[in-house]
Amino acid sequence: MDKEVTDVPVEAGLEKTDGGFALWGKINHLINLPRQHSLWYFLFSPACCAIELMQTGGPRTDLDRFGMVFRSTPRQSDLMIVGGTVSYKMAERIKLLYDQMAEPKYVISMGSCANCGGMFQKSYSILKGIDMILPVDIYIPGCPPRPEALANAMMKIQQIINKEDWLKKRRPCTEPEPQKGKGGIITRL
Amino acid sequence: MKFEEIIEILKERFGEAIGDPIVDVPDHPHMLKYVLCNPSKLVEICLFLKKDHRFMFEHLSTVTGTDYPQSEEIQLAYVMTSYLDGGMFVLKTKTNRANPSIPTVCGVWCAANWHEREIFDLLGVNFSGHPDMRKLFMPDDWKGHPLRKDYKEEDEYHGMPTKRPPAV
Repeated sequence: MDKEVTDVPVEAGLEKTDGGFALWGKINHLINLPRQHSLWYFLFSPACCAIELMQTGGPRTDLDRFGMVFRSTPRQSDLMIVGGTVSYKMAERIKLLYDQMAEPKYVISMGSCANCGGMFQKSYSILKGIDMILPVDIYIPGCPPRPEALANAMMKIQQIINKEDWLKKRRPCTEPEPQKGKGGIITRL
Repeated sequence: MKFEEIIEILKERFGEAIGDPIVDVPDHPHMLKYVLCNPSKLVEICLFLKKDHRFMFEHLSTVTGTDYPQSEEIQLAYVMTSYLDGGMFVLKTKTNRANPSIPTVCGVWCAANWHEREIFDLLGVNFSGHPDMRKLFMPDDWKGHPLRKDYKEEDEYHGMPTKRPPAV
């Protein structure tokens, strides 16, 4: 397991008092702890990485043990996993779905196609990387990535959530302009 | 039924509209044998191939198009199979590149509908008499026909850049 995950300093605790128990800790930590263990991901994937996404939810890597379950509507989802080839026609729909998700929201770019267009980079109809239209938190390389890689990416998202300030606004709900050719990694780790 | 026999019957019936059969193409050993036909007789020939009891080509496998900028033409290949003996036959026809138009074979095989829409989308061939001549794959406001050899990609589509900046 990643060393960083186990090295989170304990800043909360449970103490016995006269009438029962008292929970103490920093407000950031107390809010982020349940948030990172109830990460609901959007059941959506444009192409074949979806098979690995289904596998990740299956018994071997079992995302349920992190409290991650899939949701079939963007309104209830915290995390969007873009797994696969995105055509220009689909990209506009994905942008719409992303805008429908409530803040705070996170995006995982899964596989070579979503990262940079992959083997369809010379194609006339494929978007060369989902980061052209959405801010991406985690990139997973691979074609397709293994379920372990996706599970690891989910844990990285948990780390991002863990370091967030609860009062701070993460990013504007909708971006007025698409990020033209930005293509850079948005890093919060 | 053998390819040569089909050609013989077709030549007997349609005469000049059937070109010389292409049996052997150099450098392409696995290419199917085909014959070129006159586009004005295309629907008649297709109907004959489908209905005649000697061939019964009732199944249209695919319709494909190829752009040949050197000879200023677009060739269409109609690949059909028969349920009688499982035989396959390729009928080709060509049209000029500047203003390509070919009569539709939707009336012969319904399966041709989407195949022709695809060729209309990607090569810009107009199928006269087609019941639903819309783009199949590309967005409705897409400019140009991507499978033409001289197709130039535009810089952006709806604000999305079509090229990725080089990695830093």
